[in-house]
Amino acid sequence: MNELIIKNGIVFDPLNNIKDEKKDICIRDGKIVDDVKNPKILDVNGLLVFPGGVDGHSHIAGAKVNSGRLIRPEDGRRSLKPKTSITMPSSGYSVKNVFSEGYDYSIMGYTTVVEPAMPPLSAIHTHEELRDIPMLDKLSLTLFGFNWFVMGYVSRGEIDKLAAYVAWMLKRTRGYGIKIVNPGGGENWKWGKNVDSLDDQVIHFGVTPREILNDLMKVNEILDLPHPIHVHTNKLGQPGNYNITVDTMKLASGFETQRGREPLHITHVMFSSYGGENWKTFDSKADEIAREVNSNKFITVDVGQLMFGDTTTMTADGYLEFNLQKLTGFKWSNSDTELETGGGVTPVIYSPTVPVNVIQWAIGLEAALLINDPYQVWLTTDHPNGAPLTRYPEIISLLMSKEKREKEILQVNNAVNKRAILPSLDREYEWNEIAIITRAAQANSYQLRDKGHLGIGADADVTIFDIKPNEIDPSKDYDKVEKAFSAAKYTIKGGEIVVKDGQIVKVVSGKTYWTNAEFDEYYELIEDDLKDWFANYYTVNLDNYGVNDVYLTNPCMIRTNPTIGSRVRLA
Amino acid sequence: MIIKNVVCPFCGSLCDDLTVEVEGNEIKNVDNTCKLGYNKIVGYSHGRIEAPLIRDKEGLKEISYDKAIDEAAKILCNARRPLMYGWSSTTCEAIEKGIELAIKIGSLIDQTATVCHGPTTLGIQEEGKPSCTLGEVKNRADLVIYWGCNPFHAHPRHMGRYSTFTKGYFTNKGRKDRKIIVVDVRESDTSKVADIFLKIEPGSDYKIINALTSIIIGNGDILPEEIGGISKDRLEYIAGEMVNANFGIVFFGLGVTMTGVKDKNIGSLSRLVKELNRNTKFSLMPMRGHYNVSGAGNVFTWLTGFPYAIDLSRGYAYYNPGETTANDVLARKEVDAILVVASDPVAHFVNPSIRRLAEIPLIAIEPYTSATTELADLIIPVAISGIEADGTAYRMDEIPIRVKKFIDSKFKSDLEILTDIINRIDRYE
Amino acid sequence: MKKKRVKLITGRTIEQGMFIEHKTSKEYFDATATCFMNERLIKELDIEDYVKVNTDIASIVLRAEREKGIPKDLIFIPMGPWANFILNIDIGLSGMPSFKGVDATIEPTDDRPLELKDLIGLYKG
Repeated sequence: MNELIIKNGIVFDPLNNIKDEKKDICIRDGKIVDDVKNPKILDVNGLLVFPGGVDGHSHIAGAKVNSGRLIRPEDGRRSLKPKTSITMPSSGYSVKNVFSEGYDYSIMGYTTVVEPAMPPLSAIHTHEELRDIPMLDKLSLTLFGFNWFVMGYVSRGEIDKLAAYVAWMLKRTRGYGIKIVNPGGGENWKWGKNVDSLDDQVIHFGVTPREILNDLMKVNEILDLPHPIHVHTNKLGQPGNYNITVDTMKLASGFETQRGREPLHITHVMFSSYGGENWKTFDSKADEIAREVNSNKFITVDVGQLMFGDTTTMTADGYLEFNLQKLTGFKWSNSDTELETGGGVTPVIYSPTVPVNVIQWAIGLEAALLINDPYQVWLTTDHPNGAPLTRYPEIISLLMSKEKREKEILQVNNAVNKRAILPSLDREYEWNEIAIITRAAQANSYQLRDKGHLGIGADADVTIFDIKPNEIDPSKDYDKVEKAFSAAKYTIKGGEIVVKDGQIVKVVSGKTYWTNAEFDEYYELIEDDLKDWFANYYTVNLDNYGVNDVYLTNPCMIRTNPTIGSRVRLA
Repeated sequence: MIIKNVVCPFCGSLCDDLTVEVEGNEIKNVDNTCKLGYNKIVGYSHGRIEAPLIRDKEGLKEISYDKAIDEAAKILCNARRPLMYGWSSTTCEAIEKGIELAIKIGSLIDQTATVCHGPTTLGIQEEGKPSCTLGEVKNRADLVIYWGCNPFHAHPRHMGRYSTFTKGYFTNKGRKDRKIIVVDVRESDTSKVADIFLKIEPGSDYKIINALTSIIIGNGDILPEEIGGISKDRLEYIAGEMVNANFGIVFFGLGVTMTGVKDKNIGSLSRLVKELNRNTKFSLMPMRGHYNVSGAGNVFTWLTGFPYAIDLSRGYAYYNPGETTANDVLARKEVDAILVVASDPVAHFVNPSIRRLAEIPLIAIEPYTSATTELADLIIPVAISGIEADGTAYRMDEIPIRVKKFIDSKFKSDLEILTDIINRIDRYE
Repeated sequence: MKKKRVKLITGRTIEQGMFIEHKTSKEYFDATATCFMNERLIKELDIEDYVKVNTDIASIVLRAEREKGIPKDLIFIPMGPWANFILNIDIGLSGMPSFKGVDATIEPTDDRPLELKDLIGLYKG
């Protein structure tokens, strides 16, 4: 028996309504338990204790990420760290090698991370990288937003087949849930075009983004998937896109789910909260977005905070990357994937002297500060799109301190005072809210019952920060906050101390979650279509397509209860 | 036994529709394959090295596998500047293990792209890689350009399966729906099936690519009347074909990466494709040679941050092609021992590099007698990946496919041998 | 004896690929110890069956073979040990030796190409 007790920590465990409580935490064999007999004692005397961090949207694995590493050796050469007796060499600032991704997250107290964009045809690649990322439990979302099968079934109203196809695909790719990027628009980009509204037609397929979103949201519910449909909106990154974002959010309004979770998640909302008609009249519409979120309990968002500096942007929205590259003139990669998806990569430098960048920076913070319920807004940077993952501590300090924000505002272009409202916002996040937006909200949204909290039976993923919440005022001591969140005093993963004083002390290999939503005869429903389309339009055989468990570290299958007509799930 | 949908472990086309007939533990026949794949698969048992061999004054002599692993571990541990080379004809799993070994011993590690599409990597590190999967080409491409490549010889099924003769969703008439342009310095079997053949002067690729870009961005007036043996009128015509295509693609080969300004050719090709995307949809794709050279680049990149030519002697990955590339470190006589896996550098490196290979301890993990085994001091025979061992390989468009094992081998796989070497080194340490 | 300056390119051929795993076979030797040249070039130099190719680093004897599509000032040698024997390291920044577009001279010869073993033997000692 492997026992540990964390004594005298100041615990914030929002999902169990524990807030600012001096409380011991008992751990046995990787789980939180109610008591222990002969434990190792970790007395953390007054330090801040959170559940292990959960990042619900971070590009850490797969073809796009590797393409970013490949085209950016100059980024790889930043943050080079030699191997140690237990760790492997690290490289990269915005596009890190797999080892560095695991170590850096763990050092900041994160224990679970979601790769949010897995192209089915290269799912093996995503899983090979996830397998090699140490320290973390991992999930990945499979891309469906402009898939030919999806659009075909949507256009013919074959919702059963659509459900069967999604279930089949999640199993074949070992995916956790449905990711939708630029619904329909991505197919148009394969002809160099895009869509402009939810009701624009996809070339040749005769469906609209609205129909794709609605039907996949229904299927998500039919299949009883643990996570909402995870949506990167149309027109993302374009001035004036807040309208289409609000329209997309309204699709979920009133959509009740069996699981009692939201049916729709809008990801990296910063990039979708733009006003203005062009880059000259560009302004923040975070207030409009927050108004919709505050009145629509059927959605969650994540921030996608932008921080100034050099980073690499990458997305399945190839049109977006091409247009970004037109603005910057930087190198650009594109990767259209047959029948399924696409993608692009281009570097960017966000500058505090460029009005557009300053407004983007403000929008993210505004969204976080204006949305009332922290369970509806997770903290992300859409790593590495808004900023590399290592910038989280700075963002936390900005959310907790108006003084820090005021200091920053003085340093940046004056556009922030004219075309954003950040300077007028007084809200300061409390410790408990930080615990929600970095842990509880995301565990909740992914329905990872063993994650994001410290109740009995939870996975013993715990972070202890080197800061005493009762002795400092984060509003004033924002530098201390940033420092504490940069390097955990202890990160405990599955009951083992893996980080001590900001250093990796033990390397572990995490779990990989995926969702199995099979139901009776689901394969028979789509078998003919699969065989036909694979034979005629794919360049890989159906037999050779997909991933099996050899690529997964400690696979954890989540079974769901699909309800489709009279069908029930397989025993 | 008939085994269907076998993946061919020869070229970067990584065809996955082969049918192999196995009887007992022998291959009787292979269908759906080109001559290259056929010869490799049917001939897999021909000319194999039967036991581990070590070289002494009299020549090669048999030793036990255990002793061979011991010798390999010793050579690598005693080297001050080891190089580990090859990797493009084995599985990603073995490549990962190779990098683990390189990190452990602080070795240089390089892969065959260094004498192949290395300049492509450098070019796209400058300008990026606007690309797509082969199925996009199959389903959409109405303009296909083969530049400095000869798929008829190097990738025999490429045109049939993916890029020219195949029918796709928006190209249901196949060849008739596509215009084919070939750019080369000589006629080839590929140029014979083209609609347009541009026979250019050797080394003039850079000029011609940039001339096309100039025309496309509206600066054609600055061009001379003839460039690289091609008239300006003809280039304007070609540029028009490119702009007017609905979905175009440039496949390029070593005719572009190995000539003239090498990596700058690729950078300019990428820039041309980028400009074309302002008007239409265009992609480019390197015609990767070995079946898993793309996988080698991918594995190197996710594990170390860099795709090839990596020096791990400092404990972190130092990447500087031109300095850390295999031919450079060999010709400078820096390397004092080499481990070769799944490659034949003595057949494919240049003279000064091979002179160094002849001087230093050379370990070859290799199934066949090759030019490299002629110089090797230690030879460890190995199962052939994709026939006798399974694992992951990446097609030229970076699509991973799991190659199969359909024959049992008495030899260990690259992965197993590398694992044994690592374990042996651990025992010494 | 007549000599002529040409550009040398090397590259894949299907025969070279077919026998790449059989390096000591006659087929591989036939496929790669060969120099493809324009017929007019062969006539001009009075080349009979064999040709000697010289570069800045070494010389090699190859079987001469006619090929129609190849320009008169170009020769093509399939990639492999024979071609590479006369290729040099390239001092540049790309790490890639020049395998194509190399300056060479050619001349007729009565010598025969070396077998693989003997060719590799030249690197030793």
